[in-house]
Amino acid sequence: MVPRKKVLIYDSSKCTGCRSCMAGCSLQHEGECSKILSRIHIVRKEESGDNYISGCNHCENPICVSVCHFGANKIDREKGIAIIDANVCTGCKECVTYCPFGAANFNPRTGKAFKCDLCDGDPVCARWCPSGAITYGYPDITLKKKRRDLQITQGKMLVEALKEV
Amino acid sequence: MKLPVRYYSVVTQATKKFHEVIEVKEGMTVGEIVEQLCNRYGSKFREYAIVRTEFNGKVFYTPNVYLNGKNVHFPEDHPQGLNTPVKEGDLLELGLISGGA
Amino acid sequence: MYGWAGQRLRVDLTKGDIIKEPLDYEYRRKWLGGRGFNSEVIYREVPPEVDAFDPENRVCFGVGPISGTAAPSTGRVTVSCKSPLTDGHGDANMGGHWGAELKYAGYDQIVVQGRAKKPVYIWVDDDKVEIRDASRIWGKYPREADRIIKEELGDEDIHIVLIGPGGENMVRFACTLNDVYRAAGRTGTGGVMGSKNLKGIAVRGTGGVKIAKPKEFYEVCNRLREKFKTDPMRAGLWNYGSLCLINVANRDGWLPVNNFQFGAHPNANNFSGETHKATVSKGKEGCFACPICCGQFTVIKEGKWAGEYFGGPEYEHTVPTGPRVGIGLGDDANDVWHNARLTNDFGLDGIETGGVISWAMECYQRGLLTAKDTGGLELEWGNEEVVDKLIHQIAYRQGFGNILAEGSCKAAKKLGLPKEAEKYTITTRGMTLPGDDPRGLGFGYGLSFSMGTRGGEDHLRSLCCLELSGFLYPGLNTKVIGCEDPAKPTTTVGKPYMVYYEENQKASTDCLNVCCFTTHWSYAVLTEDQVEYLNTCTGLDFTVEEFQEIGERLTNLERAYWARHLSGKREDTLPDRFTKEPMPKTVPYQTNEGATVPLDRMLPTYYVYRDYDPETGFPSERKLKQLGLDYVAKDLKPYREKYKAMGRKAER
Repeated sequence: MVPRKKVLIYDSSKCTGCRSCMAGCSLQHEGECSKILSRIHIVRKEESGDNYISGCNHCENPICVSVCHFGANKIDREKGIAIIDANVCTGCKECVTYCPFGAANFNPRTGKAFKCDLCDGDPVCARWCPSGAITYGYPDITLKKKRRDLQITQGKMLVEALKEV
Repeated sequence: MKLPVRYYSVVTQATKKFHEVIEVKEGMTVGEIVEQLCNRYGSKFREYAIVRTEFNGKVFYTPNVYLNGKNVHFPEDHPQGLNTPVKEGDLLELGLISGGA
Repeated sequence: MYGWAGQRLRVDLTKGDIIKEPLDYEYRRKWLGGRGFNSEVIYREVPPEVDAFDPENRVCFGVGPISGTAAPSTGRVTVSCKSPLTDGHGDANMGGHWGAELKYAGYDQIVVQGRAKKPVYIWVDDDKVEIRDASRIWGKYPREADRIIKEELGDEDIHIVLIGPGGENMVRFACTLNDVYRAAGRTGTGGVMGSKNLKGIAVRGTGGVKIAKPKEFYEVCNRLREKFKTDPMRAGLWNYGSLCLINVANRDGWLPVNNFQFGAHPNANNFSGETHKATVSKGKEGCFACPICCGQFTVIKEGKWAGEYFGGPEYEHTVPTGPRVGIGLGDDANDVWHNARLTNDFGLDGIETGGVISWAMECYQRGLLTAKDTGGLELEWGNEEVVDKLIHQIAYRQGFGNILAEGSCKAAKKLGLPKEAEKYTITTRGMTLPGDDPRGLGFGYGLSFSMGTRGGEDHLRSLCCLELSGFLYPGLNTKVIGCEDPAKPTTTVGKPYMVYYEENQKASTDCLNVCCFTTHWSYAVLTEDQVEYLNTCTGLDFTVEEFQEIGERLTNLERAYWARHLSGKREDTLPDRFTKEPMPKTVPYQTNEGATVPLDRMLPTYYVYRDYDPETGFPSERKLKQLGLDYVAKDLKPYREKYKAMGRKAER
C-alpha cells in the first residue's frame, strides 16, 4: 500500500486571477475577508493578463519545518502536512524567508507566522476555484489523469482508426 | 427527409460546427431529434441543449431549442413542445439564450 | 464595524485638503453604499447651476458593505459625477479589483472636488493619503501609467484607477479605468477627472472586511457558488464572455449595423465569441471573488495590427466601433479588436465613440455632412482608415474629432445642422444607445432605455433579463410579475412592472456593489439571497422589502436630479428609428422583421407603478415623502411649475 495524502495542486495556466480562493480562505480561518490574512495568494499582472498561484505545496520534507528554530512548525501526524502552532511561534519569519513558493505568511496583527492547513480536509480554495486551477487530490491520480488526457488528444484511438476503414 | 439545424454559443463546443443538414424520418418529434443529436455529440451537448435548472427546490429541464424561430418552451407557439413532429421546410436551432419575435 | 468601513475620504484638489468623514448608521442604512452614497452626494453637492467641468463638480467612487467579501463578484465600483455629456446625473460601473482594495484600505467612498493646479494622482495607502505629482504620467496610456506608478511606489500589488489621453483632453465621454482595462465607460467620468487635473487614484489596502456571522455568511456564499457551477446562463459567459451574444443578437435582429439602420449582417460571425476564442483569445480573467469570470484577453496575431493586445473586449465594447460603423463585416475582423484596443488605451467610452462616429457617418450618407465639414474625411460605412483616424482625433481633440468629442447632440448644435440630424444621434437625454436594438432585444429593454436615470439610453439601469433569460428559470416571471408571458421579449405584457422591478433591483445591487451578472442575466442569486448575505455580513436585519425600497429611493433621487435640470416626461422618448421604422430583414434566419417598439403602450402604466406625476413625469410628492425624501420634495416645487410652463410655451 503506497501511503498517500491529498494535497492542493495548482495549474496557474487556468488561473483567472479572481481571488475567490483568497476571499474564502481568509473568511474560513479569520472570520474576515482580506488579502493579507489569506494563506494562498494570487499574483496578478493586469497589463499582460497573466496570473500566478502562490500556494503551499505540502512538501514531503518541508523547508519551513527545518528552518523553524522553535519547533512551532511541525508535521502533523494525522494530516501529514506541516502545521504552525501559533502558541509557540515567535514571529522570527525564517519560514517566510525560506519557503521557495512564498507560501509561508506573516500576520502583522498577531506577530505570528501562518500557513495553509488544508481546512480540515475540505479546502475552500479548491471548492470555490471557478476554473479548476486549484484542485484537491492525490498527486499520483492527478498525474495519471493528465497522462490519460494526453493520450486522448495526442494518441490514436481505435474509434478514430475504425472511421478510416 | 433533410432537416437544417443551426448551433449557437456553447453548443458549438460540442458540435464543432455552426450548422448542418441532418437526415431524419418525417414525423419524428423535436425531442427525439434532440436525443439523437445528444447521442451523437455527447454529454456536453445534452447539458447545453436541455438545460437543467433548480428553482424553489424543484428541478426543471428547459429545452434551449427553437423550431422555426420560436422557442419550443413557450406553449402558445408550440403547444406540443418537445413532442412537436417535424415536417419538410422546418428549421431547428439549439443553444440560443434569448427569445425571438 | 461589520460590512462597511464606515468612512468617506474627501479630497479637495484646490486646497490640497484630505478629509475623512465618518458615515453614521442612519446614512448607511438609508443609502446602503456604492451608487447610493454617490448619488446622494451628487444630488446634494452639485446643484443645477454647476457645469460638469467646473471645479465644483464632484467625481465619486463608491463601494458597498459587501465589496471585498467572499460573496459572488464583489469587486465592482460605481463612479459618479454630473455628466459633461448629458449635463445631468451620470454614473458608470467598473469591475476589476480596485473596489476590494479600497475597502481593505478602510473607505466606503472617495469624493474628489476642486481642481489641482498641475496634474496629480492620489495615493491612498491605508490611512495615509497623499496627493502626488503626475507630470511624468500625464499623456500616457493607462497601461504605461499603471506600470510607472507601481515602479514609483515600489509595489506591484496595488490597484490603480486611471484616465487616458481622452480624459485629460476633457472629451465629454472619456472613461475611467482600473486594473488597466476595466472601464467605467459611460457618461464621461474620465472627462471630469481630466478637468480636475486628476490622472488617477492608486490604492493599497492591508485591512479586511469584518463579517458579523462568519459561519452563516460562509454557508450562503458557498451555497450560491455551488449554484453557479451548473447555472444555465453562466456557461455562455464563462466560455466566450459577453461576446457570446453576437450570434444571438444577429439572429434576433438586435445587432446594430450602420447606426441601427439594420439589425443583422451575414458576416457577424467574424467577430463572434466563438470566433474570438478560436483566433485571438488568450486565457480568461476574473474580477474580485467572481465565480463567473467572463473577462476576455485579446492578442491579435495576424495582419496589420499584429502584436496588439488588451484585456477584453465586451460585447458592448466590440459593437459600437465594429458593426455599428460597418467595420468587421468584410474580410478583416482584426479591425474590430484594434478599434476596441484604441478606445481602451485612449480612455474613451467605446459605446459613445462608436455612437458619435456612426451618427456622423449617417449624416454623411444622407448628405447632411460633406467632406468639407469633416476636414476632407470620407465618412463611408466600413472605412477602417477613417474610423481609426477619427478615434485618434477624438481622443486628442483634433480636426473634426474635436467637434465629435462633444458628443453627437452637442456636435449637431455646434455644426448648425438641420433638425433632421438629431434623429440620427440615437440618444435619449444626450447619451447614445448601447449595442442593443430594442426592436429585437425586447420591449422591456425598449422601455428601460427611455426611462433610465443616467441619460436614458442605457441597458444597465434595469438589465431587464427577466425577458432575456427568464425562460431558463421556470416560475421566476410568475413569481415576480404574475405570469410567464413576460418571458417573451416581444410582448408588452407585464413589461411596465418588469422594468419597474428590475430597475429597483439593479439599483439596490449597485449599492451593495456586486456584479449584476450574478443577479440579472444569471438568476442564481435572488433578492432573498442578497438580503441573506447582507444580513450575515453586517449583522443587521434588512428585509427584501427594505432592500428593494433602497433601490426605489435611489431611482427617485436620480430622477429628481434630472427634474431639477428640467428633464422629465417630454424627454422620456426612444429614437424614431425604434418606434417608427420597421426592422428590415438582412439575414435568412432573422426573426424580427417589421418590428417596432410600442413605447406609448407601456409608458403610462410604468408611470403608475413609479408614481410619477402624469403631467411632468417628476416623482410625486407622495412617493418622495414615503421614501423619506422630504427634502427632495421641497426642492422640486419650483421646478414642477417651471417644467409645466415650458410645456405650455412649446405647445403655442
